[in-house]
Amino acid sequence: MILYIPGNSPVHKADARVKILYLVFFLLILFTKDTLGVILPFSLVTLLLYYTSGISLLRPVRDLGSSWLLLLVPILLHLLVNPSLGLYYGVVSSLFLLNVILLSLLNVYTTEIKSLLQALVFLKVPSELAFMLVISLRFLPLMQEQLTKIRVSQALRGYETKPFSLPIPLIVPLMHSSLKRAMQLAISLESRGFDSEHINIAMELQLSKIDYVLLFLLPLMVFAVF
Amino acid sequence: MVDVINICNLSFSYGKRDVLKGINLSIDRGEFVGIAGPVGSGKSTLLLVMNGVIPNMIRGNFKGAVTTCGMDVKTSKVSEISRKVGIVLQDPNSQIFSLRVRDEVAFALENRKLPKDQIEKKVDKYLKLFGLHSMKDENPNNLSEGQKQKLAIASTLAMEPEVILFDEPSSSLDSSSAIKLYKILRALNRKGITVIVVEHDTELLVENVKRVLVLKDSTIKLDGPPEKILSSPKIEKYGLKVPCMFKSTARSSR
Repeated sequence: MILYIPGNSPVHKADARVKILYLVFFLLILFTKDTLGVILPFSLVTLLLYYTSGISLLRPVRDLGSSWLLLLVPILLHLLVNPSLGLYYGVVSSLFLLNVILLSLLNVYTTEIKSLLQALVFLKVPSELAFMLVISLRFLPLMQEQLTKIRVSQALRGYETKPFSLPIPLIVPLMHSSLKRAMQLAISLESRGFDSEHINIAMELQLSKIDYVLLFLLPLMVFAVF
Repeated sequence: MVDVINICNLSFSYGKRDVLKGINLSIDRGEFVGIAGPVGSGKSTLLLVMNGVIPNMIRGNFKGAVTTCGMDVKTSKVSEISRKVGIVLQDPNSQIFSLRVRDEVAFALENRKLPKDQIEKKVDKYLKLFGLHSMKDENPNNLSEGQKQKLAIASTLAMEPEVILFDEPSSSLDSSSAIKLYKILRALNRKGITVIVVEHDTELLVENVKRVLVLKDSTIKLDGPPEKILSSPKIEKYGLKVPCMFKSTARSSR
């Protein structure tokens, strides 16, 4: 499940705001420097970050399951459009996507949801949007669980998913239960005094030495890369 | 006695479907009220009216006047009413949104901008009350359904409201946990808190509440002390079981 994994690594200890700033910086590099010469060494940085965090690469593999097959789509599309150079561009696009996914997941695995919410609000992301993002992270595992239950109950009634057809018997009950759950959650939150425009969290984010070092290095790296 | 909830000629419908019709009800401060009735009779809707979720969040055709703790539910925000009225919904999975047990209990207290040390004290107090203190750093996803229900209740009780509404609080609890929960509710009621519970289990109602309302077809059919209401064989018409202690009385009066 895509959840925060408690830990004591430097990646875990880094402040949520610093991690978001670095994530944006890394994504900017990936978006602007889309060549194999940049993306390959960059993939090593991603692997190094996972190694430092102590989180196994098997974790995102398990969490996304068969969705990883989508990484093959850019390769196939590029091969169809441009048979001579398609493989090169396809691999670049797939590696780009792989890094984006792995880095985003690492941020979720190593940051407490409350810190993430506070960091987003601090970085002036509209509070409603920040809360929506955090709530969706909380409910993703529940939706996965719900989907498994629906899949089992439909299979018990003889339903089989077919390739290239929309799994309506899975989508409709999932949508129905998710909307119902969203309404119940909204009632529960408002009934406990929640006001999305004025989010108040007792926990305070505090920058440590490592955060100051990372913040000092960030402009230097931006200058060096761009 | 001062009434905390006053409902005058309330009707609520979604399109053409009436959910509540001609409801007149007054609940005094410090009462312990149980609401019973068959599925679809409007019990949960009535609770949502009492804390202003209807008509503020759930839209429909709302007629009549409802005041809760002196606030008109039509003109007050749910977050304002929540300062005095807490609600525990039926499905704990839809209420719990934090990734740590203690954060869930702290949520309402943070919304009230209480100082951090007070939040921690209250979180500890209410987690201990429900035997969840040893799990305070756990992910609520790892709790059993009964523990999740206890957590949802603890997070509402931590707000220390004047009125607490429960929508079938014993539905995910085993019988001994349900008895313990009602013991806590009785203790809260003795402190002067108004407790309103939607409950199917007439045994729990007769042992704990001081007043029972029976709803059917969107209206209040019976209202009175549990010994009088639940001992009547009429309640079987409303989809309720006569509690064991009244069974012989009910048979002889048939």
